[in-house]
Amino acid sequence: MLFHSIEFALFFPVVFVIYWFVLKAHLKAQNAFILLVSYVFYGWWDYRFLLLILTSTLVDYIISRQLHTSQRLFERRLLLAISLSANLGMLMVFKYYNFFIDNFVAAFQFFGASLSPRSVSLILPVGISFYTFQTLSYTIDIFKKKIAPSSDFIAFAAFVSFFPQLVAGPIERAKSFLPQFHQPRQFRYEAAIDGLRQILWGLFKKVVIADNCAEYVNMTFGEPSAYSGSALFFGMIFFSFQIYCDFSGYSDIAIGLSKLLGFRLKQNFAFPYFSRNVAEFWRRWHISLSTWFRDYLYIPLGGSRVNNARKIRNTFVVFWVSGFWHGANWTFIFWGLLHAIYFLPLLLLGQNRKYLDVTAQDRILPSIRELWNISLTFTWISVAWVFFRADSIGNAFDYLKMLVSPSLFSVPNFEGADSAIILLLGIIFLLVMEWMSRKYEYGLAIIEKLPNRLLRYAIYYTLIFVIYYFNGKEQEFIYFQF
Amino acid sequence: MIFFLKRVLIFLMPILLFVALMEALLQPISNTYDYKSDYLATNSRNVEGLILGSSHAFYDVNPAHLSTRFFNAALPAQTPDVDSAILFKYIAQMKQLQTVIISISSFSLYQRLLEGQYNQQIKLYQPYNIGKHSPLDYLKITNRPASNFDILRRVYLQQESLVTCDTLGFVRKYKEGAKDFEVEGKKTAQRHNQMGHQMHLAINAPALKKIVEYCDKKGIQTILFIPPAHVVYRQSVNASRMDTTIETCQSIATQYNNCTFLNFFSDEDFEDLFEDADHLNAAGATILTQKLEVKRR
Repeated sequence: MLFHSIEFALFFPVVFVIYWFVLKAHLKAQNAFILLVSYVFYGWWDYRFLLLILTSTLVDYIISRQLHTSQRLFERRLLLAISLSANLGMLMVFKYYNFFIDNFVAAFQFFGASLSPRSVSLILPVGISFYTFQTLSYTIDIFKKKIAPSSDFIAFAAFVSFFPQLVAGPIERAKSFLPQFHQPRQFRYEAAIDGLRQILWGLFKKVVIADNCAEYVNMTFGEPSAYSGSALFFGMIFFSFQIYCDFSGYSDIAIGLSKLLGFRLKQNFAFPYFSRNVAEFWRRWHISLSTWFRDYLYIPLGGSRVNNARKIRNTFVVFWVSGFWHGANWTFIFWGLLHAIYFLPLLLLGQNRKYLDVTAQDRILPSIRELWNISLTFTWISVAWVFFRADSIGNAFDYLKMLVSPSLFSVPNFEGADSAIILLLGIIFLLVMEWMSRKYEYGLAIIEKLPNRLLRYAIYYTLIFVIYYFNGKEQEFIYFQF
Repeated sequence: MIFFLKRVLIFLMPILLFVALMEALLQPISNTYDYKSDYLATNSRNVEGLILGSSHAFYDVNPAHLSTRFFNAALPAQTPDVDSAILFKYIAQMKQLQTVIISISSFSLYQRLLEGQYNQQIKLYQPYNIGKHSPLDYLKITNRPASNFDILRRVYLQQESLVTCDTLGFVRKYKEGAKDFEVEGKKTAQRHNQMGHQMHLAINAPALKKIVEYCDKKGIQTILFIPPAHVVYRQSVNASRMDTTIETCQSIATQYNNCTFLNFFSDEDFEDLFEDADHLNAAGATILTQKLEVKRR
């Protein structure tokens, strides 16, 4: 069930009314209801996926409780290993099995040996990487004695499967999110209105920007040789906005829905395209995954408090794993490694924590220098996205080669140029709104500060109309596949 | 909480009114799909010949030039699985049916209206009551909004009819636009090459065979034909798909005595008779229809 489908538009109001009106004073019943509707939501794709999430939930629930009571280090390590193996095992089988098989065969063929292992046709369960990482952090935190396990199975299962963030995050930590299932939830009018506003902004990003960018992106990446360098340039820029608006749009809707149900999720995107260098970009992009890797991989490897050689190793490991997390394809790994190359000079020169504040804080416009840094960072990021989007690394290089040609300065030759101009106007509106709201959680948050209610409502109705008008090109959220 | 719900409902009121108004304006508008399904529902018992298939049959076969009472039930991108569903829905009433003519385009055996870019199109078949339909399909507001606005503009402001066929189901209005066959031929062929998937062959080929087999048993003649195409289109279309399509049709035609297969794909008689790269103009349609008439028993 997609957030921007009619099915969900009918599903959520029913959930909301039962949740607050019927089950209002019963925390356990509310949790059980969240679990039930989350399973309905997830099973809507394929009921067989439910078996996986149930297995993951049961394994982590049982092991976490034994981890908590066990005092012997060997036993604790064994229990952790079982949990990691079960979760990562499922991820490996469903997401990476064929990738490994194909590459083993290719490697053996390179050395002249012929292998014909059985590749299997498996459906990749939607969002498996997200809930696997959420449950992994839970078990690891219990192993490290940072948190106590939940004694309430229903609450824990609801925490794992919470439908607003189940299939594409944000990846929540048990420390901040699980207690919300154990405490009575209050309906707060301001939070609910804020949630609705954030959902509206998320839908605008997804339906108007991302889905319309997708048309041009599919055109140019589908057959780059048919297009001029300028059309390929716009294809690259449109993909940068497609992936940002698709994913951050999903996060906005997920966070907004959670606010309506009385939950608080962490911010997942903090206006990443206003970053002044790549290090800042990674503090603003997919924050819940970046911090996961920081806490459970980078710091255990020694982080940046080690010698330069180990710093380089740690950086490459984290970005390599981050790329591989996105999918079983060398393009994602290359994308990750490219970011490691962007990031390393900043780390080694001590520039990686240079920009921790809001861009152009207390000013309306950025300085020339900030604008230059933002543009340069955006260009590097966009070039890396070409590798993320292309079918193969070779195709990505071909795309960039064709882009950097004399036709880069010609009029773009893709079909529907008029619609592309409307789309560009939409992107400009997005950037203006996000720039004005950059101190807040999401792009439309600034609207709340407008004193004129009529103007606020005019903006809301205009956005709703634009979302309705551009609806119908329904595309799945890109990050579902990860 | 109640205050919140009240505020939300008040906020949504203009939107709900807008939606209701749109639906009220859209609901009475008939399109070609409505016309054809209505015609078959009311006139099936008088039909002596039925034309099925994609836009290539819709544009290329004019029932007015056939000597018996034919009806053209073909529609854009219509594939054999849909042809089969339409035929078997009305076959019981078609007591006088003698001939079924079906166009087989380069994409016909590979495309499914339920899949890919045409997944919205199956909703148009809701009047036929074939295919899987959710209750929401009955609401026209759930169609692509941009096209809904376009429909309202054309019908209410420009007084246009959305029924683009004549009384016998043949195209009445051609697509507007440039007729640069060099450019359009390549683009159209590439678009058709990308349509559908190899796996749909396993659905469409048996659906086609089922039609022919049934008609053969009932003594009804079937004519399968591959429509003519402009040379630029022919050069750019997926050759492997075309070969498989021709082989499939030939194989079916040799198995059943009442089935005839005609391949007009490279027929030179049509070289200057194209409306666009893969559809004939009115004169071309007349010639093709006459050629089909000759093969009719």
